[in-house]
Amino acid sequence: MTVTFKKVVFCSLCLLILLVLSALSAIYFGPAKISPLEILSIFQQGFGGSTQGVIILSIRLPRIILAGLIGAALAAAGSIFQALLRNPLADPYILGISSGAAVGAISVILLGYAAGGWCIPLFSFIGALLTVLLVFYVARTREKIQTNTLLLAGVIVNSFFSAVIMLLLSISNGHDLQGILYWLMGDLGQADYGKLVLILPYILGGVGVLYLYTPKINLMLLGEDEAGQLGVEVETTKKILYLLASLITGAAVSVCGIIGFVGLIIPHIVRLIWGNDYRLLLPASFLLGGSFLIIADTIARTIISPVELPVGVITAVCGTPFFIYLLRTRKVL
Amino acid sequence: MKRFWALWLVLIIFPVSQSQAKVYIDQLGREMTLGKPPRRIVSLSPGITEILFALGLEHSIAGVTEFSDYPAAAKHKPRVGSYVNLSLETIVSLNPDLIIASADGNRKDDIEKLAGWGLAVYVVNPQNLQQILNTIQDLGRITGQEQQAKTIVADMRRRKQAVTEAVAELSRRRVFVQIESNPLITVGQNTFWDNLISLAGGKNIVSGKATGYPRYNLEDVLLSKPDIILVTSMVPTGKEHQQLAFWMSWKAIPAVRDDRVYVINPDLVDRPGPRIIEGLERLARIIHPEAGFSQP
Amino acid sequence: MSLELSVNGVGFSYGDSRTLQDISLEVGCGEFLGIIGPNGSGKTTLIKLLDGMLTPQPGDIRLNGVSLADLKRSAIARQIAVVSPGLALNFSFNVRQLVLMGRYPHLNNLHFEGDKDYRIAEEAMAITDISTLADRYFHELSGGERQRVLLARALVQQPQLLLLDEPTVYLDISHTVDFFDLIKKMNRERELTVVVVSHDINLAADYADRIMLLDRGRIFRLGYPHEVITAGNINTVYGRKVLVDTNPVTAKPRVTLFSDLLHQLSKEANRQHLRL
Repeated sequence: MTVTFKKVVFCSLCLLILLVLSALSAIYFGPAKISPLEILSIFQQGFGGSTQGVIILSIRLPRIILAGLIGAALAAAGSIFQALLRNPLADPYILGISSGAAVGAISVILLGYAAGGWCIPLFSFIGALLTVLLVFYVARTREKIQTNTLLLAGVIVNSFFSAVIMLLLSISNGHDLQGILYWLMGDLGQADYGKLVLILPYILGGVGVLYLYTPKINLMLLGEDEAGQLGVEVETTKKILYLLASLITGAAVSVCGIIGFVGLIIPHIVRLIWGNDYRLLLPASFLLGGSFLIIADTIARTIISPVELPVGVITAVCGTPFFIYLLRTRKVL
Repeated sequence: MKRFWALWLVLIIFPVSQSQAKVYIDQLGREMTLGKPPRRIVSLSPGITEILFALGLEHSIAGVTEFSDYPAAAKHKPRVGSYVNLSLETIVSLNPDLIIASADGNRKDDIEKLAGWGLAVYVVNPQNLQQILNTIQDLGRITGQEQQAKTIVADMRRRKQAVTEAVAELSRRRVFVQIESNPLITVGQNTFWDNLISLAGGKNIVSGKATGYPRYNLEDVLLSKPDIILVTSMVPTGKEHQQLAFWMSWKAIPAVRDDRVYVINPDLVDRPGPRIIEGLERLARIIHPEAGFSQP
Repeated sequence: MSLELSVNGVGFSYGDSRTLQDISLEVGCGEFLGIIGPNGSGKTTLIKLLDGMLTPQPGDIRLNGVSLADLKRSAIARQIAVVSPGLALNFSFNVRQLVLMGRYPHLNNLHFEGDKDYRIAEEAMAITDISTLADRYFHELSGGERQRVLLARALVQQPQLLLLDEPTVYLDISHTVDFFDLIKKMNRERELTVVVVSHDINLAADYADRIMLLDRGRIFRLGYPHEVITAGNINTVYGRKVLVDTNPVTAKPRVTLFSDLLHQLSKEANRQHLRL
């Protein structure tokens, strides 16, 4: 149970291998039948080749990388919100933080400041952050945050922001923005390397800094007073964690819309296997979240091919039973 | 069976016994009784509105749905809510003597309610170009504009004939239609798009793989090698350039390579009304420019 | 190893009502101070002030001459450890993990415990007699076991001052005595300074060198147990008549509760007994 540096390195390596394996198998699946040997030769040739080459390098590869990055980001952000609220059911989607981020992104696009592209994740981040504060404010009764109140606050905030999204999309002439579907169900279909480059620094940077805080996060799990007594500057740490988790959520939502439940399922699986020490839990969730969304998206794009499902459908189908199980059985994680 | 006989009875007896009142069967097989030719008509879809205007009924239209923007005069008619979200209260307050609804779009229980209140509701349900022609004739008949309808339908038949004859011997070009870009949404079988593309001498690459308006995999677009890509855009917003730019990066698609990605107004194709024949001609010009249709 | 904690004219209020006023005292190295007082007299608030979790307003608390307000949390945690009652966890940790967390203020930037940290933890678990529980989950333990785990965690902080806030409130009498014996031993053998808040006046009187009696946020008396724990003082502060005699084992003052009702009932019983 105790976590050592060796153990973290070993587990991360295993999960990294799993991530690479899921990515490699995902690249094989799709409407076009391309054999592994052909894929290999496509990788050797590089860009600018046959239709097969374009399919592998310009459609499947960026989509798989984006799925991995988004899944990793959402799982990491979920684990941080769980620590901050000391509640295993916290998840950016369930708490309405993803919707808040979407509202941020949509607003900036509507205002017409989206030209550079880079400020969409930024506004998405601001939306996420304001939502966190709102949920926190609504859920906080006296000292403690009760699970029921928290979930209720999430539901309320979520439906409010969903309505705001609908409203914004209705008053715009509809063609400035992508459809309601995109924002509410999430989509990875138009992945390109530009989007990857846009969010990569936010997500990798955010998770990197978060890692430095993992010993503090462990103590925060015991309660704020306990953490303070053991030497953590609680208020500062909380602020930084909220900022980083919101930044990561915002970056993810800004390029792929709202994809739910990843932040709930993945950290919990990691907890079941390796316990709650965030020095291992954070990197493990990050890597496993990546594999999970790659697999979920592969299912979404191939199960009724060539028609696609929104990837949010797959994650919700996996996530909802999980959520109910957590809500009904697990008192202590 | 009983109902069937009752129907016949009604059909036979009523026109004789009552001087004016006639019973009509709409396209869903419902009965509707109409007295004198209607003078306060409410149209529940933009396509129906276009048909009514074409039949010369401008002054008999009491209300239309939102997005009824053609012809220009339609914009000044009272609105009764949108297509799916009708304001029943507004409809009733307009005191209509005929309501024309569309099976594909209006909600069934809305239609039932209106009919239940004793209002005359006629439901149309065209699925392809041929059925649109029938619909125009049906609406001409119940509104007393049969002659007008005949003229319109004859003209449309002639133009359709011209198109199909011109493309009959030509190879079927492969067409992909993009309704929405993110997520990528296209048109499948059982749509006006599919019907018109095939009449215009093309082949919808999605046909046979999906129906309706599915989310679609970009990879399959590349694989199917469309000769032509159609990007829909209602009004020039400037956004269509971005859409075109998106396709420009996929050089492996013949349509892109040969610079055959076009922006098209979807109202001409997916609105079941008289203008659909313009849509057909436009599609044919895009798909087979070599067939040499003249501009109308 | 030297420790000097000086509290100068400290007050504190939550919102409008004053919780503490005019608290001044010196705690020397190796001392064992007991704090007693009725509910709401400000005992727990005082513990939080002494640990720097709350900032006094007005006044100043100095640890070896440096104001707590100027120290980082980790610097304070290296010198002061706290054991609070009834920690409830939403997240499971086993005993060893929890005890190791006490090493946090001593960890360098690598964030991982080294051999030395493990050795200190094993030693603390041995002292508190929880070595056999090391791989059990905290939330599965009994109240007594949990308090010993928290004590072990406080010990691996290697503090000079140990603050205990009602540490035995959920423990039965036997465990309570074991727990306090352990604290007293550490206090004697390692010159660990101890400040303990307790509802149990007798327990405080038996183990502490000095007693502070708090009354509505002020120090009512501060001194040796026999000076503070008198029938008169207790009656004034708690509003309850008590009998105070001497504990034959410890020679410290011993408080017996006095209930008018029970007194009357037993008198009646006596009379009946005599009549029979």
